[in-house]
Amino acid sequence: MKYLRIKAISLAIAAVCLTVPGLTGCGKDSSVQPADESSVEIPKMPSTAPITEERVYYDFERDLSGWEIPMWTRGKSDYVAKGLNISNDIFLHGQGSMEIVADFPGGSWTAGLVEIQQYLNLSPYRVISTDIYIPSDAPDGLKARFVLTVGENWKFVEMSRSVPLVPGKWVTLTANIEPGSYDWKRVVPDEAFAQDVRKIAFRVESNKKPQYTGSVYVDNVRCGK
Amino acid sequence: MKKMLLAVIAVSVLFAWTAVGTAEEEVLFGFEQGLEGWEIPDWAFEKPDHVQKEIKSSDKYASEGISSLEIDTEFPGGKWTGAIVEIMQFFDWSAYSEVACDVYIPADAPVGLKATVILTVGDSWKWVEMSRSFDLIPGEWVTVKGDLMPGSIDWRRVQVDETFRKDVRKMDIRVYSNNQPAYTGPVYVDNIRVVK
Repeated sequence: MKYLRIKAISLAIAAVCLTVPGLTGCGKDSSVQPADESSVEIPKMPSTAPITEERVYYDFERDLSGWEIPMWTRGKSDYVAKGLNISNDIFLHGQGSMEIVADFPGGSWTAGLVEIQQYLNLSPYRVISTDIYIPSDAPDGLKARFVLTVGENWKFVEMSRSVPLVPGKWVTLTANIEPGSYDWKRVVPDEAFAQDVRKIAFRVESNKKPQYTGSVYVDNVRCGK
Repeated sequence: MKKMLLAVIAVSVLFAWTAVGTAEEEVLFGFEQGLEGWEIPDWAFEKPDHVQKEIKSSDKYASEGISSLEIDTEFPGGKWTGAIVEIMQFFDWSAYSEVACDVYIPADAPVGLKATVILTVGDSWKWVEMSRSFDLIPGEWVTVKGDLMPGSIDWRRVQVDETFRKDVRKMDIRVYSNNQPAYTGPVYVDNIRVVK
């Protein structure tokens, strides 16, 4: 009799387990899926692998290839690029570079900006780079950064950091254009960022100092992957 | 005798130099015999942002020969407007590395107009605009040119490979004003060519 009572209680417990979902896993609602780890969005980070392949987009061997001092900077007292030429005296590769003639007065923030308007898909690449030179008698303190204009809305995106120029030496300016890059101010690039680049610009800046009237040379604007 | 020899050498060098110079380029359209097939496409007449009025052959300005193509335009300013001309013709430019043309606006025209080339290529008649444009300079001929070689970055939204230049079906030249300037007057096009 006792044996029968125990058996009945066991059967009752088993029945409850089968009908109440989640109590043992038996009768679990298969439509309720656990959080799938692969669906959690992990922000993309730029690769740290070395750059092994580069393509030079502008080498300034024959002409300016469309680089110019934009119209909108003319008449603005804080934009001080006065002229743009090809130089065959100072260059890093080949026989020419782009010479920006600028007049930084000092005492206030001023910049020389040059740009090219060209629709480019740079998504096969991870970085954009160029080499910049100021003569050995130029003062310390000038800095340079890239500014890109991207996408349908022509968004103006500045580098979040600038690179100090060194008198008498070529300095390489590099910015990462991969999704997740932290090289851009107020923008973290996504997949579309590098696919639709519409302008490339460089800005050479003097923040109150130094004062400098002279040339800044740019060569070998390139992308790497 | 020595003078004679020098003269012969000089003439030979000059002849060779001229031959090399002309061998580098082939002029496709010089507009010496009229419009040579160039026209304003029908669709452009229906678009309010396209402001070319008519085209004709002109002997007022030329960068090659004595005639050019004159486009009468009316850019109102304040919005994007373009003037376009085209020719529909099948070209195989496999032997060439660059397509070019010269564009001129009169000295009293305003600064700010730009020019670009558009090609229609391949079986799917893909419309391919240049990725950049060229600033027109009042009173000067400006050369608008596009690299045709595989890997070229001069063309928008297309991977330029060997087939790109092999099957060109239309060529368009567009002059445009992006908000400014306003300009009513002629634009001249000449010396449309391919370069080895």
